[in-house]
Amino acid sequence: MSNQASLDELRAFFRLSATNAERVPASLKAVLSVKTALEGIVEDALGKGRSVVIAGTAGSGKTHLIDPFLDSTQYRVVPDLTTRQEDWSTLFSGGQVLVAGNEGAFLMGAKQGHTRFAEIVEILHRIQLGEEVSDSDLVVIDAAAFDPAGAGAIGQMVANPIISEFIAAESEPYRSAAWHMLSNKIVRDRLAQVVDVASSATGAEGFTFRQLWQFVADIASRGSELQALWFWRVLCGNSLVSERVRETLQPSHLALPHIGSRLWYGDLHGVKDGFLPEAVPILKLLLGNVEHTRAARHVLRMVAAFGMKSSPLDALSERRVDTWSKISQGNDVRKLIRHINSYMHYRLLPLQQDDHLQLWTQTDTERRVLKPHIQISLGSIDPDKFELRRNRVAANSNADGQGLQGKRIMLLLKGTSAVLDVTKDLVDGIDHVRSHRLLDRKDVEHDWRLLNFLAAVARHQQNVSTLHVGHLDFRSRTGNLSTWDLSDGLVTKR
Amino acid sequence: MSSPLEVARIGNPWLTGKSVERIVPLYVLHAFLAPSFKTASKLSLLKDAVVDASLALKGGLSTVVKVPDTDLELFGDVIAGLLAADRRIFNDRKAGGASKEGSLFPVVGGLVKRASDDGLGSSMRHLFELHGGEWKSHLHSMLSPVSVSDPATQCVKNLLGDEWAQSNEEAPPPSGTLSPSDSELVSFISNLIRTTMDASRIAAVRELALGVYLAAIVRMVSGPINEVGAEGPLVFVFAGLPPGDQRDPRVLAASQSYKAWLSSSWRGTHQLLAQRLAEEPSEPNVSIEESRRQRLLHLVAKRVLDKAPAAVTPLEPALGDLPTDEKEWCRAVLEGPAIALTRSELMRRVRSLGSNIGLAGPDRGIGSPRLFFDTPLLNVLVRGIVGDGRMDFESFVSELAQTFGFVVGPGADSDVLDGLKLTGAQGSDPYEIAVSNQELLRERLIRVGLARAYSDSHTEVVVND
Repeated sequence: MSNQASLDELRAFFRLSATNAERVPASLKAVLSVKTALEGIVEDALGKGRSVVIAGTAGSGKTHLIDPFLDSTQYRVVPDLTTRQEDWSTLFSGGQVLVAGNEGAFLMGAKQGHTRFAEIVEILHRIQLGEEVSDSDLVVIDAAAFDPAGAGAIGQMVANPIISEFIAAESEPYRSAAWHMLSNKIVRDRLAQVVDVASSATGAEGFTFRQLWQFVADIASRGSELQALWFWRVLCGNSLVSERVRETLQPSHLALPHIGSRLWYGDLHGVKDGFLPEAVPILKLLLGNVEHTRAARHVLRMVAAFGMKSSPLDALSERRVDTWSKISQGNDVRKLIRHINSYMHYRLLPLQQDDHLQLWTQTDTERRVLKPHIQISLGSIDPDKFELRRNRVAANSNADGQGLQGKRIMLLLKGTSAVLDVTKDLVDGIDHVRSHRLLDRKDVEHDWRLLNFLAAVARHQQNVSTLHVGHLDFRSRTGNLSTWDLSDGLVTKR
Repeated sequence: MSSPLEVARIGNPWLTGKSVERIVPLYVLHAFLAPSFKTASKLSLLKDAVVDASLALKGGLSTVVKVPDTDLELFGDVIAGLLAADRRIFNDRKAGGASKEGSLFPVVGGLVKRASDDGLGSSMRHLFELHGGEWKSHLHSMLSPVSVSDPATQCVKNLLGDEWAQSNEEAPPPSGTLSPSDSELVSFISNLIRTTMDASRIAAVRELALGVYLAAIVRMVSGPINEVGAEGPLVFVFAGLPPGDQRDPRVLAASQSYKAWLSSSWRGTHQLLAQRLAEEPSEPNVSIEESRRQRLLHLVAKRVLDKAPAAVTPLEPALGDLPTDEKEWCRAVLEGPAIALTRSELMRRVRSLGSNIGLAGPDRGIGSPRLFFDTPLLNVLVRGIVGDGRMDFESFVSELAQTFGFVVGPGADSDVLDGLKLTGAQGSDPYEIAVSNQELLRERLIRVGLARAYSDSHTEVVVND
């Protein structure tokens, strides 16, 4: 049981506009700490006498990782590299050290020529490109690459007893009853899943720890009646995470066959057996006072989505059939290449080897008004020469046996610097038919990213003797590929 | 070009005529490149191939092109797709085949031929000639690569034969010096003249086309402002994904700034016209009408001797007009029916030119004109400003202002905003608008891979090679 002082500290922490680890009292830090695999990596390295570097952006968890080791006398601890610039030249010259800083500081140190800073920057870049690095004694962690949402951190956060006590102490029956649902692991897992899906939709990097704590603070905060219910605030709260959840989840999309109307008419007896026991108290309160408003209807959907024994949320996660989900969950290079090819030729060309990446190029210099009915390809590349990689979180660590991976997905031409960041917005963009409407500037951006990658790949292809040309007929929705032989100084139709 | 426009060009030699839809990046590039390369004799055949492949083969291409008669149209499509993607090859309805006007994409030097661009390309070339340096040899390497590494270039080489990349004897460089602002533009374009020989060479030629065109547009507008010494020729550019929401305060600021920028340019043009007119002597004891006529003839003749009478004659009715104040008279003449270069007309021309490369918009009928950066243009800006390697983001923003007068935010020096005179909108003050606009640019650059964020406060713009 926490004391009042701890609860006051927690209240103050939740009210901070920026939930910085630096501002949390030490006593509260220990209580709120979320264990991840990163702690194990740091502990293992330090135990073996190795130096550890933790790089990352604000809110990525650097301070949290360093805090347990601050008082060590066996090695030097630098919690913030930028505050110790006078020591940079000797920092890695002798003795074990544990250092945290943002990547920009390491970059600055590298430019200034300080010992081992360039090595650290290089290692960071290599793991950011998904390379498995094990050729140095320095353990380097890219905290910004770690995806706490994907690691289930949200489940740990909301299960923390101090938060339940905090809410109970606020004496709001609806809020307390709603929070009680989270004592069931199934509910926590569903919440974690919702956040993870939203994190995947955020772009390459997902959510930081700071953003997740802001989300938890928001869903645990006070409000009037329905707005104080955590499952309502998951969707309608003020945090960035809630904003992203709104983009990926609509209550109206949650089908509740046989149950929806019973909930609407307050039939507790008819529905409660379908709910988890921890959800029944809040259900009782809500159904005892049903308001026939749209907001109330959404609240009932949300309590059902999280609180039912068999939830539409479970089905949602199993059947994620959109292209982004398939690509981000799988490792299918050929599928992605087919997708890119299909987009680039407007889904009109029957390519014999449609999983070979066609290296389309453009020779226009003006903004297009009409769709080009001819496209030039500089060749095609075997899919086996590509790989899909995720960025890595740690380098040179024996404790990172499984190779912790981040959220960034890349399509790489092996052995080269040709990389395409495979982000949700790009995949969603190429899921549609390619556009040449002048107004579709987002499509122009997708096109440019793809063409830039194709040009980077084309630099590594050796073919000069064959030109492929796509002939497209938009009226009949057909197309064909012609091939031209360029040997012996001639241009010959094959 | 409309002859009376030559009078306006006394004030601003870079001014284009009103038919700006025919002034396109391809033509400007050709005009820029033309003195360096010999046009291949088979160029006309390749142009014919775009409109009538059988004519081209009969004309001589059959020695190098082997294609069944049933596939002649396919061959024509290949040439169209490879070399005429901009659709700037036209039918000659009388003689058949392709018209003499029109240009192909210059994959190699042999395809280069001087094109009609109202002088923008050749004026840009002139700046380079004054600048000196290694750019000529780099240009030769770019358009006449020592080795061929991609099938597109190989195809053109096969078609043109020995003449695929021959250099011209070039005239000795002119004498003169460049202004600092012109030096910035030259430096920018120089970074786009890449000597790469791999398949990225084709993209490099495209980027060069956009870069030369961009620099020419900016030079056309900023030139008079710089020359009259008006307050810095700065313009606020919307940095988000174009065209932006009309109600967005950043878009409103960009629209206001665009108008102010063009107004300054237009004012500078008639002030310079007046200034040069005042400095030019005429015969003593003649009427004001005759004095003006003589001075205009002299000034136009200095640039285009044979066009002088045709340029001045349409202005005869206005030569004796009031006001007698030369500045006011010049303004009235520019706006008058003979030249018709009003402020709004200049805005229209620049908008039309800029929209060709995703610099200006929105597309017609959707709101006030402003400047923005379409993604391909953003790439050109990064490559031209950063050159090799990388640059701190704030420095990049400042360099945008330094090179082009494009202000997207405070950059490394917030004093630049003072030169803009932005007004706030919708509850946002000008500084907030500029800072959030700069952040939009940062996010866009990161999203498309042209920048990397190392921390909340450190982002670097990178050239991807």
